[in-house]
Amino acid sequence: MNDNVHDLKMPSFGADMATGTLVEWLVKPGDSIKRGSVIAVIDTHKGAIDLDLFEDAIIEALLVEVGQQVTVGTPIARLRSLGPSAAAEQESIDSHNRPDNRQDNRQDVTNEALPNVRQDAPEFILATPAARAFALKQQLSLPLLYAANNNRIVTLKMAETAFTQGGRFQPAQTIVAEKREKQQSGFDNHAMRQAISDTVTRSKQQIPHYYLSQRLDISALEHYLQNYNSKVSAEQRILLAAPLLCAIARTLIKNKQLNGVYANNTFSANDTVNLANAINLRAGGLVMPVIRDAQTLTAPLIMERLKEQVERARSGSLRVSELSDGSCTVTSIGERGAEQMFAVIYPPQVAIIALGSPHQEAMVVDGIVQVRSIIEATLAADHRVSDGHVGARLLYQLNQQLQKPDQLWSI
Amino acid sequence: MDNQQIKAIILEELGNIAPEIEASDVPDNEDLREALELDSMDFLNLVIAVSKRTHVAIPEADYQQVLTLNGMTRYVQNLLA
Repeated sequence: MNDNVHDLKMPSFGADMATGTLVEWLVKPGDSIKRGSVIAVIDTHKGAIDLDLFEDAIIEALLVEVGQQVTVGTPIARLRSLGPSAAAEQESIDSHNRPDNRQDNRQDVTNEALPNVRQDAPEFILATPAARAFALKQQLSLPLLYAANNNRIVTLKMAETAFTQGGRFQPAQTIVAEKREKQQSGFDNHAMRQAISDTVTRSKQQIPHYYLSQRLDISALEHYLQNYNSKVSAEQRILLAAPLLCAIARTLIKNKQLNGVYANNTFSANDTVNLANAINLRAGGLVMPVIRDAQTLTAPLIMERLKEQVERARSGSLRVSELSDGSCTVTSIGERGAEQMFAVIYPPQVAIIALGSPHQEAMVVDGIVQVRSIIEATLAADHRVSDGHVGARLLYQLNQQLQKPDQLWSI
Repeated sequence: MDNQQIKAIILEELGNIAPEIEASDVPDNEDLREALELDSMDFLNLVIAVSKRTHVAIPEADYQQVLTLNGMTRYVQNLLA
């Protein structure tokens, strides 16, 4: 094998995932594929997920057949990476599919010998006692670590590194799918509830949460939005969620202690805001697709992302790249319901912002009582990383930003 | 397009948004958002889909008139007449 040729392995979408089934190939040998393109559909017990490529490459060979179930880490396709000059000649793709360096590392590029496809029960995994204890404590999956480390004995160092990387070795995001035709739902509700239960339990056990609440005056924003929507077609209308996410992203980038990941007793601030947005699906599932570099997007662009992601969430075609690397989460009650919500931080993140339903309140503005549109926002944050005044500053700045809605429509 | 056809279109598009709901379970005169638990994205998608198929634009200012199945049917019919 020459240097450009390497194997794409069956990725993991959660610590409890040991195998995946190749449901559909969307490419064939000889195809030249651009970064971000979906090349296969993989089925896990939690539902189907689209596998997208993290690089420009040519498909050299497909190593697994449709319908074949393989363990995580098994090579499923042989790729020949295309050089940077070749990539530049190709058409530009959606910038939000462009991964950062950390994701490239997680692609497990290797030229070593390939493990056999295993379809029997998981074997005893070789790991040092320290690694075993660490994995148990952090709820990492030994089979996944073993496979991802090319079937070498799992050491404590490997486990710690994997834990820092998050995502693939932990129950990071839960995934849901509906069958592509209008039939019975394709995901395992019980498995999903179990995954959510595990995550929130772990969060509450390990993360010392502190809570702050702030009323956001969205009167100016509502007015601006109404005006904007009256001038565009229905397809271009923007929902309140979009400028809210926009404002939150722009405020988060200025408050680094709330935007990043905590692992291995260390906090790493993110240099960009990958904003995870909690979406409740009709059949009862919960997904949190990530809007990458959200602080660089305008409200209309965020609306586009939201539409795409809701659509993909519904059809079970969310991509690996949009379910990983969240640096903070926003969750919201929606338009009707509770006025205030306190949320649970989603590890390894360190903060979560929850938005209540918009409602009107009598407030004193400039010395007189007025009727204002209000959203109660709460922040739950990791006290190991930040103190109350940091959280308070974020909420204050957020409210200030929302008083200048026109700024959210431009960069 | 008559009343029945418009209603059928709306029900069809509702089926795309909320596939688990039977057409016969959709009430005529209740706020669809509450009866079918549609969020703002669902409702917007419904408006976009129905507008596209009937070629009738439904501005945000008129949303109050189209919150129920009968309301939306009536609204579209009036503008088609």
